[in-house]
Amino acid sequence: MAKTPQKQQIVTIDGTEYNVADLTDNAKAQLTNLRVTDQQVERLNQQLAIAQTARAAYAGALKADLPE
Amino acid sequence: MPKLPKSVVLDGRRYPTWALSAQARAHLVSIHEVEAHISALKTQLDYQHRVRGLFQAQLNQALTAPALKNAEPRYFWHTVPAAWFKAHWPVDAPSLPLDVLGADGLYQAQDRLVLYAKGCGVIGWGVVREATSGQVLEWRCRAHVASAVVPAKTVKHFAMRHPTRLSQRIPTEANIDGLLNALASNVALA
Repeated sequence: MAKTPQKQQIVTIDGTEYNVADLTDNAKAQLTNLRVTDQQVERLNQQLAIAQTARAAYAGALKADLPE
Repeated sequence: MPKLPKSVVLDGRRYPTWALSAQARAHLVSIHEVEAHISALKTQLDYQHRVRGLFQAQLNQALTAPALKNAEPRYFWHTVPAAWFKAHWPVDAPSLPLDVLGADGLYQAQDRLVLYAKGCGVIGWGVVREATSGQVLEWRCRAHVASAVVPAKTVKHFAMRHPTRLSQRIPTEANIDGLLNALASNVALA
């Protein structure tokens, strides 16, 4: 039984859709760079959220230990 | 333990460090360390945002490059069952909706489709176009009689093989022009 051919591969960057098959090799490379950068930003934001939560916890603990 | 300042201001009150408990001083150290970590993360985030801006600008440039606008058209084999061919051929209309061929959504506008009927051969070719009712195949050449069909055994003379799946991209190194010219000659002679 013949395989169903793949439909067009569409990627969305900043709200704009791109058909990957239409892109030059340079454009595809820049798309990959953007994806990698977005992953880095997401990772850093997660770490920032964790650090800010930790800071709030330490500040709360310090406040509880302050002398009257 | 890192050196602490002589005093700290917390909630608007100044506390001499020596007056804090050991546990409070430990919390203070932790806060300083976390704040340094937060500052480093923000610096990295600023850098990644700048880099992202550069990549976006390069992508925009690549998308507007002349090479993209003048891209070579894509050629595909599209296979139709022998039963469909016998039931619907020849077609008189200048275009055919792609959903009739089971090709809805498989192709883009300007794609070239070379229609191959199983058990028969190359029966025609056309260009995909967007219409208000959906995608259609605008005929460029089609065989109206059986004698005009290019049989499978002839296809190999043009550096390609007949298709074995519903849709197959025709390699750029294939002699597509030769095949299409052969079809046009058959149609003219028929």
